[in-house]
Amino acid sequence: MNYPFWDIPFLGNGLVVAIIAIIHILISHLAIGGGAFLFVTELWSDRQPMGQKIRDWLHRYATYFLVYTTVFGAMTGVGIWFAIQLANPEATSLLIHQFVFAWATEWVMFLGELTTLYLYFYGWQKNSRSLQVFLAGAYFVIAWFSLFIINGILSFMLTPGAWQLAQPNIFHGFFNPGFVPSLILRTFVMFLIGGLFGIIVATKIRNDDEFKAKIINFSAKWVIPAAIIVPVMMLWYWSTLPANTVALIKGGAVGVAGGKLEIITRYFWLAVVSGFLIVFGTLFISFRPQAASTAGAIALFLIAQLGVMGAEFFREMARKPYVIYNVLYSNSLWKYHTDDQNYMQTAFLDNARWDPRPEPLSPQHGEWIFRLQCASCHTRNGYRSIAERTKDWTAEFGYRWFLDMDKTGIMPPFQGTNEDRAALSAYLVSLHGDTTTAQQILDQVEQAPADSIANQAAANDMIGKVKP
Amino acid sequence: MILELLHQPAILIAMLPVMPPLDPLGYPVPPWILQAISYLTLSLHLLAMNFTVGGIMLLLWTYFRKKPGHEGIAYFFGSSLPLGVSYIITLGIPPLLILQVLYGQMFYSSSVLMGSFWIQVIPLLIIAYSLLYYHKFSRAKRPGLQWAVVALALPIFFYIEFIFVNNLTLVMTPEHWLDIYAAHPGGGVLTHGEPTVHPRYLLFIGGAFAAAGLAVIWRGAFLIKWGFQTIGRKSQAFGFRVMLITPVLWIAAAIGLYFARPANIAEMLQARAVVVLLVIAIIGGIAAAVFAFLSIGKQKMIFPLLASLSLFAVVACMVIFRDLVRLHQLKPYFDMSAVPVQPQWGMFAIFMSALVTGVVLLVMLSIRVFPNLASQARERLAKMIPG
Repeated sequence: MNYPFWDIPFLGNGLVVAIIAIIHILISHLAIGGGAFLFVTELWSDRQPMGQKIRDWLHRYATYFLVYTTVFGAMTGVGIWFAIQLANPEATSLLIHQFVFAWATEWVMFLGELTTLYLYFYGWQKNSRSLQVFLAGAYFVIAWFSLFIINGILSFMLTPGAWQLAQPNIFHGFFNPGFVPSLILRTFVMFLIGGLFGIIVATKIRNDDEFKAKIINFSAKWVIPAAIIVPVMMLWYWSTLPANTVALIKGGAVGVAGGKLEIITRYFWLAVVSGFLIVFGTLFISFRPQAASTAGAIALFLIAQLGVMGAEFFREMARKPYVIYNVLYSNSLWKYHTDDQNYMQTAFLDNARWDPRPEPLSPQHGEWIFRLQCASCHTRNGYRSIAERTKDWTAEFGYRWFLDMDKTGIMPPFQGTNEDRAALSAYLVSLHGDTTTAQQILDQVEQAPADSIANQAAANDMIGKVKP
Repeated sequence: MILELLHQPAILIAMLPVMPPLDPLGYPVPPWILQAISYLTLSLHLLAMNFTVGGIMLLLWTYFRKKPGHEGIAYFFGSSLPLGVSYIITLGIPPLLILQVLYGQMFYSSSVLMGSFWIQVIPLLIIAYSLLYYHKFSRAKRPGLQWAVVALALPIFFYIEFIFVNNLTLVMTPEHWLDIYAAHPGGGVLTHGEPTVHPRYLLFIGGAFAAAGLAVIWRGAFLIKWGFQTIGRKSQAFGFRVMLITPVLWIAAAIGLYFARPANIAEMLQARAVVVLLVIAIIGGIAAAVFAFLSIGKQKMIFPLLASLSLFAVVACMVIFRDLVRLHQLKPYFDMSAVPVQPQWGMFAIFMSALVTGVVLLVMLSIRVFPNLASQARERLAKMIPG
């Protein structure tokens, strides 16, 4: 909580990250799987009587591929980086300081990918066959290594394993429990997406049904096996997830959490269902290739985009309440600070510091606490709306609920004094018209100490019924 | 315990409550190594940016002044500008990464303060980049409004550069942060009253003419080598004239910089390193002009090469000067030498081996492919220009 918070109304800054990331992930997987597709198709064309015809088609694939991946892929990749700096500087700083040379090595791969792709594409007419095959292969290998590196950092955030902040060991962090399953999962996803892109470009073939069928069937061989293997890999990946996450997804929906985490389950199912739809869609297209239209193929690609969306929201939700599991909470509260009672009970704005010193117990006091402690996950009235989630609250209830909210498993502990809790609760209920002031809350609590135990019990009971 | 020490809100920063503490992991290697990598890659990034922005301006110029020989220059830029953008992005990554390691707590803060502008860089660059690709692939088929496509991209690049200059000056003025944030928690502030913003911006833009002009000189040298004497020479003379715009703008920017903060500049000039940089930059600038002039009419690649190296030296001096100014201005709040180093030599070695291997591989592959690209260009030219 050392940084200013980028307060975007309605969307919330987390959703800005998510939107850019979801677009990027599909393209970045295409950038690698498409590389494999180029390489294998080059080799395949050499064994086919109509090799030149296949390569002419492949040039078209390569053109779309080049523009799509270098413009949208590269820029959304940088975009994620821009967005996470804004949405969570504390976590970004930790990741950068721990993995700077991993990222720098990934950058070398990135430079290599681009340059080999340009040499391959612009040298199309004049390069020898063996050089073209080598360039396509080199592109794929280099691109896959960039996945290898970023996968270490991404899986670290959810399953940091033996890594510790006090004695950081980068190899523990990088080769964390989620590393291998996640790498293999992503590798199959990228073959799938490379093949789907092939189907789209194949539908552009006009007046040559036989050739179109040949290319579509070739591309479908990339999609179907991968789409069947991906769910199996997901189960393996599942087995590496933190126990808390698994509990939340499985029975958690009813048991621990009173229905509050149905969202995470929904995202998981979205990913699974998209996988099935892709298998059926691709089978359908490969049985009737001559009827395959570009619009239909793009629809399949968009289903893959939905699947990616499900998987990414799942990954993000699975980390809750952390941004780096067991190290840093989503609102930039450090885990090690939560063991320090002095820190936890210091006035919140003395720790957070990025506030214009509002008058204690004023509405502004509550608003600044909300902005700097809550708004990284909740907007006031939009995405994960706090007004919606607190609509049944009384001001006093909120005051009590904050004390134990971390018991929900999806909220971090509250950092601050009694005055802070009162000010925040007064601010939240004011969003739906309750005019109770922070001072009134404190007075009420003081007047009814005996009752407060019953209230506390009621609050505990409510914990499970509140949506994240 | 190092962790606790670093998280004390106020070791270095007693004067300024908003300055975030250092990252708990400290620096991964001594900072001079990171600075050196950053100086190298940032200079290359700026040259790619100058080439692209200058190229867009020259491309537009050729659309409006249709002289013989200009089609070739238009074709050259039309083909190469998307690649320019690609390398702007790629070469921009290491300096941005290192900026976050060395100056993270300042850079993240300033980025959030102008967050709503900072994030615009992404969609805008996607649009501008797409426009340049659209131009490249459609100019032959649909020649109609191609100038408008290019003309749309230009203000986008100017605007993005302005956003960068503002963020990197806001990094240096933490004393204004709290007021800005309290007034605009949504990150809705672009300019913040820093007097050096406009001269710095002019320094950025000014280099565009030198880099794009030099690219045209290179092109001319190849044309002459391939036997197209006349247009090659014309191309080089044009490139040289374009390059001369840069010193005019840079001198204006230097004067502007001085008047924006005369006391600070005078103070900076006390430092010997600054004077050395200034001398190298001036000599480099003159050398670039002389070598560019010597290139005209010759097929020898040595003169354009020397001119390019000289221009690189000038830009590198500016990059280093900028870093020194930043360190100087942040002195009350931040001392780089006080940041603990928790060495990651193993990772650094992996990075360096990957870099060396990668660069060697790419150079070898380029040597194999370039003759093919050149012969393709030559055949195309032979069709366009008889004799």
